[in-house]
Amino acid sequence: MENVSLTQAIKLIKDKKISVKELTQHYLNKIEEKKDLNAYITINENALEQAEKLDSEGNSSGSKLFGLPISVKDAYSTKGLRTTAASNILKNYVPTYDSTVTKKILDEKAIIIGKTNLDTFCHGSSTATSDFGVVKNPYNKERVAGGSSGGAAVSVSADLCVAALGTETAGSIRQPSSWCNSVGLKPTYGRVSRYGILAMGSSLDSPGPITKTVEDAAYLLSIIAGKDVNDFTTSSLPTSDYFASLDPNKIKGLTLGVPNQFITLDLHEGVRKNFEEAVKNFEKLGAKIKYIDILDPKYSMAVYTLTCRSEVSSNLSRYDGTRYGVAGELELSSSDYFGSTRGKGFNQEPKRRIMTGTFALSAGYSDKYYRKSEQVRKIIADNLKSKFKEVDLILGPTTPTTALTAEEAINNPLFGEMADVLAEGSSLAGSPGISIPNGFIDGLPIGVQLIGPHFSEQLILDAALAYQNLVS
Amino acid sequence: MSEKFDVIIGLEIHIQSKTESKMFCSCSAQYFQKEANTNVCPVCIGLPGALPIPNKRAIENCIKLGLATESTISKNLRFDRKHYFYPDLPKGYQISQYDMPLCSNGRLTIFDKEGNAKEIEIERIHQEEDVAKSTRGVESDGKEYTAIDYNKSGVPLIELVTKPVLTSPSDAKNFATAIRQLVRWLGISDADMEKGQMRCEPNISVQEKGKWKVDEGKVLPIGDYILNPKVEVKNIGSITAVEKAVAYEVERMIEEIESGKKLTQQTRGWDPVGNVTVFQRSKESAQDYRYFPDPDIPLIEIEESDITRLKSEIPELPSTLYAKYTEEYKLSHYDASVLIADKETSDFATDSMNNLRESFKFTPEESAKTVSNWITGPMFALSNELSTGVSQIGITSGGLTQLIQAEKEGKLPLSKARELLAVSVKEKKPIEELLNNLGKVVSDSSQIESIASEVLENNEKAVADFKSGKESVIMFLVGQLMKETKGMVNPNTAKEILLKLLKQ
Repeated sequence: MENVSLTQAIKLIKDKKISVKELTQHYLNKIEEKKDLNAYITINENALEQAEKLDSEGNSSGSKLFGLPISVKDAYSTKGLRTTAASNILKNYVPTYDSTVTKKILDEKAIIIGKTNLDTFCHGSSTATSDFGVVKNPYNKERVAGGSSGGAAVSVSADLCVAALGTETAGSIRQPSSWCNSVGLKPTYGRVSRYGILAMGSSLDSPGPITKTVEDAAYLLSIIAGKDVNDFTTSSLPTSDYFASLDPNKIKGLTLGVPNQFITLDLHEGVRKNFEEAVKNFEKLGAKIKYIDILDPKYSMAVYTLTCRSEVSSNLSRYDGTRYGVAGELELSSSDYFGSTRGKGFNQEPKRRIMTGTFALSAGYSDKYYRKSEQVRKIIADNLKSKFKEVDLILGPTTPTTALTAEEAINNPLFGEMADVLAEGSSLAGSPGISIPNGFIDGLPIGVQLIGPHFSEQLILDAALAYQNLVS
Repeated sequence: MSEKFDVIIGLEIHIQSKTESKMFCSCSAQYFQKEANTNVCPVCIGLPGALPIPNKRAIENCIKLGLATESTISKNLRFDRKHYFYPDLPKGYQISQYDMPLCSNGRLTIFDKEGNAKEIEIERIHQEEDVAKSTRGVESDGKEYTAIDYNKSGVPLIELVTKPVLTSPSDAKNFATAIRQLVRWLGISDADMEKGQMRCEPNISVQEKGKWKVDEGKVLPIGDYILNPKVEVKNIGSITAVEKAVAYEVERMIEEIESGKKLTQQTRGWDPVGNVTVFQRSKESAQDYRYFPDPDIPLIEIEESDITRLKSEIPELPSTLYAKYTEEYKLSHYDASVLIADKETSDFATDSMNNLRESFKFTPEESAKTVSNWITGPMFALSNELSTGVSQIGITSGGLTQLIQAEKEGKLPLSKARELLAVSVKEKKPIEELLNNLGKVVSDSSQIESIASEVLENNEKAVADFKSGKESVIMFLVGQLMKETKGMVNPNTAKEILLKLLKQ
């Protein structure tokens, strides 16, 4: 049961080589063993009971995730299971409904083994902003896991579950995957429903899988993707069985564009060399490499910062202590009450972002900041889309560095934006992307990423599988 | 009203859209008197992760109101988030519309009691959602509390804003009445103000005559005149209160100005008990709602085919009928107004008129005049007696037209016809049946004379009273003659013949 992938675990259970209970207990033990990594905020105390029940029922209906212990980022609403968004303001919040994605995996008889740690309200790229402590990198505990889906990435790479669900706004799946040696898929915006996921950047948030293999990511995506009546921003385009359709041979003859702007960025030397190897590997696989120009990532950074913080300031307005979450002091007027709840419940990072976002939306400034930002966003998105007329996919390093330390994260308010600089452009455009492991630099994992046009998840997975087969 | 000041009023009206579901979730929109917080879901209670799904029927209702007021309908529907913190606003923002309202630049003609018309320009009509209901109270230990009931949160709301072109309390009342009539007519709202289904908030200011103008919907000063600030009045629970509140406020403002006090821009509440407005809060600075397009609801395209279909669903409007009745059929303002007071009455009138034209070959003018007389006269009186609508007293348009035709054919006098109407209603007997049991009309004057003679013979005292000067007794004698003939004689003829006999 050590280091089994999702697809391997399916076979083991189906062939009755292990029981659901055994597998579940195995992960519960490992989670306890490695609790210093701090990957989980809440463990599902009914997991074992649910496992036993599944064992006694059997899988006659052919549920696709039968008995598989999956971790879920603590930004997804899980009915009956505490959901905190790694914030004190929700430390006692138990949702009364399931998000669409968690409902889908539960309908396929998965076991949610626990809720993974994250940067508070997804604000960050390290998990250092979590009110439940930072998540440590399993390859070097002095380093952080990355974020905001740091706990999810660690739960997979430290083998604390079979697969994980994370979310990405700009880098939050891909970056921690790169730092923790996992596969992280960010689907096209609108491919997977956001209903029930605590909103950060409503026009950016993309739920997606973080897994041990590319096959696992394809398998999970098939289950969670699709139009949702509860999310008006989901796409009506049909989904596929991405797993069944996997075809690594598609890499042959594919044109991969490498943005010059990614290379001239301030990449750590090790990363630069590592990436050059990746380029050669893709050529070995039969892909054609073409160097292209995209808009300077600094524009994406500025636009992302403004747009996301504006949306954050709006999305966090509902946490006022009247209906859920930490209560304020009842003796006050309503505005003071709200102030006391939010003052107590939010830490520095959400407060910072709320203030920035409120400013950017305020009268007299919103034209200059928010509206302008949205106009530039369209230019960035169009520019990226146009590149896919010249190339099939874009190839680049996922992150400019390997995992950094917590101090580096805390002391720089724009840490996240800089760590995500290679992801922001594609996120703003709503494009899908995947990060796949590409070895280690000084013992720390590093990934490479493929970005594609909207709804090109199949092609991205095909190319990623070809690469995975080559390097592992 | 005042010699020195002009009154400037803009009305902001909120109308609860009559749909099955709320604006952004599938909770029922019929929340009235339901137990608190039982009509809610993650979306309308603002739970983390909940997302809005726009209600198509509500949007169509808003468009219909726009079409019925000759508004320009936006090609795309965009929702914006309007931010402010308040306990009755669960998301900390209301999903509304900012600078791209669904409908704009419309108009509606209102009439005063004399029938003088005035066209009121409508700035915008847009779609938004209602907030929760908050109730203030004091506990037994003296502590104040606010209780929030989310049953109402998320109900679809249409907001209509006029340009500042109303100039009197009666204008405000008439416009509110016209809107209420229209939304009921279109079937998009019941607009019962007592149930909060329609809310009116006038914005009022008084300005010195000749020192101001309206430009692009804004009131602007002329020269170096400084405009007096405007006051918004909330919490008005009925249309009569609209007129009262505006009148009170105008008087209060003029009084303050003339006594040298400085007016401030403020919100006031109407107190229906004291019949005064009370200061609520100052509005010196405009609130910054930090509007931005709601990213959870991508732009919705309104297609031509949608507009065409919605236009076809709009029935003939009261204004069209009013014009037809007054201009073509020469009905009075009052009569026309009664006929179009509500859709049910209007449909009844139209059906009756059509019946008369098609089945009984009345001319359009004749049918209009006749039906109008019946409705504004006897039917209206009966409806008041029964405290119900004209179309609900139990008379069908078929029954009415049969009655009218019978009278025209001379089968019974008008007075008898009216009597049959009342009998039909009160005894719940169909008109057809009553007409079938009629006797014959007594029209032969010698026949009437002989019956009249009998009446005079049997009522010696009355005759004596008449001859001694008590002329009003004639009505009693007429009544007796009507009784003898079961009402089948023309009362005027009866009176004439009796008088002739009495003078002999």
